[in-house]
Amino acid sequence: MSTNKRPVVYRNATERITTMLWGTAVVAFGIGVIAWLMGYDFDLELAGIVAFAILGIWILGAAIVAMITSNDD
Amino acid sequence: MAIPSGNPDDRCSDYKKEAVVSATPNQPQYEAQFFTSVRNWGITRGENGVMGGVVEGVGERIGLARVPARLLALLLIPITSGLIVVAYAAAWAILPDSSGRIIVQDFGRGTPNVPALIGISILTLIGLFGVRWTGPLGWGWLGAMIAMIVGLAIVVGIIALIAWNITKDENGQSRLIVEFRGADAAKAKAQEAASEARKGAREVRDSARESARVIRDQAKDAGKKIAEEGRATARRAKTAAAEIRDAVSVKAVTEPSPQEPMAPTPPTPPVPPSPPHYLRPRIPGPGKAIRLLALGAAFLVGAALWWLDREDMLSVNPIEAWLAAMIVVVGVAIIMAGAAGRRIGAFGFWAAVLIIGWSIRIVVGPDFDKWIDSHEFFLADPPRNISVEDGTVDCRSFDDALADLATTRIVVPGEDGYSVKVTDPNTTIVVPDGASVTLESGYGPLVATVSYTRLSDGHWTEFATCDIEGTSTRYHTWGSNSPKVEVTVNVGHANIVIEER
Repeated sequence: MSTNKRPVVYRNATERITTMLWGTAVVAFGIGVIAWLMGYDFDLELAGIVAFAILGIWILGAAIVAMITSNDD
Repeated sequence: MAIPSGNPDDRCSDYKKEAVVSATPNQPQYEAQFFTSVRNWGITRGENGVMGGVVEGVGERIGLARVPARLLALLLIPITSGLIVVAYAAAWAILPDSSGRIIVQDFGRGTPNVPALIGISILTLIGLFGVRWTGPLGWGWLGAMIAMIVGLAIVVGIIALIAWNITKDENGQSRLIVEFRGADAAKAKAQEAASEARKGAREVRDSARESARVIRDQAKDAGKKIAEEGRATARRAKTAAAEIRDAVSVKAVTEPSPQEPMAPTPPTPPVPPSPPHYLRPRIPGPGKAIRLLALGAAFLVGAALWWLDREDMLSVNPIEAWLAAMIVVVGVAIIMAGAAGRRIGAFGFWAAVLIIGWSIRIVVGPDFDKWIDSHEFFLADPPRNISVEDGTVDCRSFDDALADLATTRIVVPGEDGYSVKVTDPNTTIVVPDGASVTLESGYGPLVATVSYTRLSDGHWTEFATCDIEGTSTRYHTWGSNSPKVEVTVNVGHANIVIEER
């Protein structure tokens, strides 16, 4: 048995939410591309608003989870 | 630094050795594996080159004299649509010269060869300008995307060069680089401190071992002494017992010999704890299940799109549709990995690639035609060019053609040559008096507002307005005669005004 095996840990709740929001943003972008390919016009201003909203949710979510878990590191 | 000589391989190895020798302990001069690999190619830029000596060096490597090599290079410029110029610039940047210096490596080390960098930039721009998607090596939107990425890289490089020049101090060293080196020095100090700490820990451990050995020896000596005393006591007891036995004359009774007392167990010296061996925790990757799910989804989506395309139910290129669907698949995989508390691994890389690629495609993709033939319309059969200014197509000069070719389409060359696209969102098409018009959405969704106006009493009045929005092929005909002008629109949003004069 190797004594140098690194211990396995999983991400905490804050990091999980952050990752999931990142994935959600990727999915949203993909849906936008599909819509664009289907001929829908892009409202870049609306896209900017949505992007800001996602960013805000992202930061707020991470902050709330950090407060709940008292992990302010 | 001495200029190595000899064959290119030897020069390269000389340079590498020299680089190692010249490195100071606080500032090791590492070389990325990439540059080592480049040096191992054995190609060095020539010293008699017109610009960077690349052609001379490559020719020398493959046994070609300078003049024919240059002629061949010149011949390749039109054939490769300028790609060879870009390749030349790249080779100029990464190939070592006869003294082993690499332009881009020196730039990274803060000792840029500014004239060479300017030459490389100019050549790159010239080459990219020549990389046309209509040439023998038409690259389509991929070429434009590569051109854009490389162009951005050049801009970033120029900005970095300016930043270096602005921040350099009196010694010619950039403060940015000095800061980086400061970070290196701090890292070296930290490593030194860690080394000292390890050394201290080793000393403590050795000291503890020595103490333990002394304690063990002392315990051993004490044990021996106690055992000796015990044996002496036993001997005395045995003698006393024999005397007693003789005194009372007891027969046939064998007294058991007194048992020798056991030597006391020496105390176990305390074992010093081994120094803690810290292993950084590992966050597992997405895992086989998520990877296979994504792969399976990729295949399923590909099969579905292939089938839709086969049934002629897909209005876009199936590969483009698949690449768009892959963003969603990668995003879902990232969500799943995140929910499981795992790293996203390569999914992050692919998400970045897809997002950047599609962003460029969306921003510049639909307008590729504008870059070259923004206002060139032509009749499909026979092909006749119509120059259009300000988004107005004047078809009045095609009376005969319109009369004879009732189904002639006014088309704009698209990616496949005859798919139709209105590049200008506000297009006015002027048709001869009495011409009937058919508007067709070529295929796929169309968002177009079409206004058809007729001159009445010297004033333009709206005769008909039609909004086409949907996915089906729809025809809208104005006039009672058979259609003489057919406008076909492919995708996108357009305001098409058809005026009858």
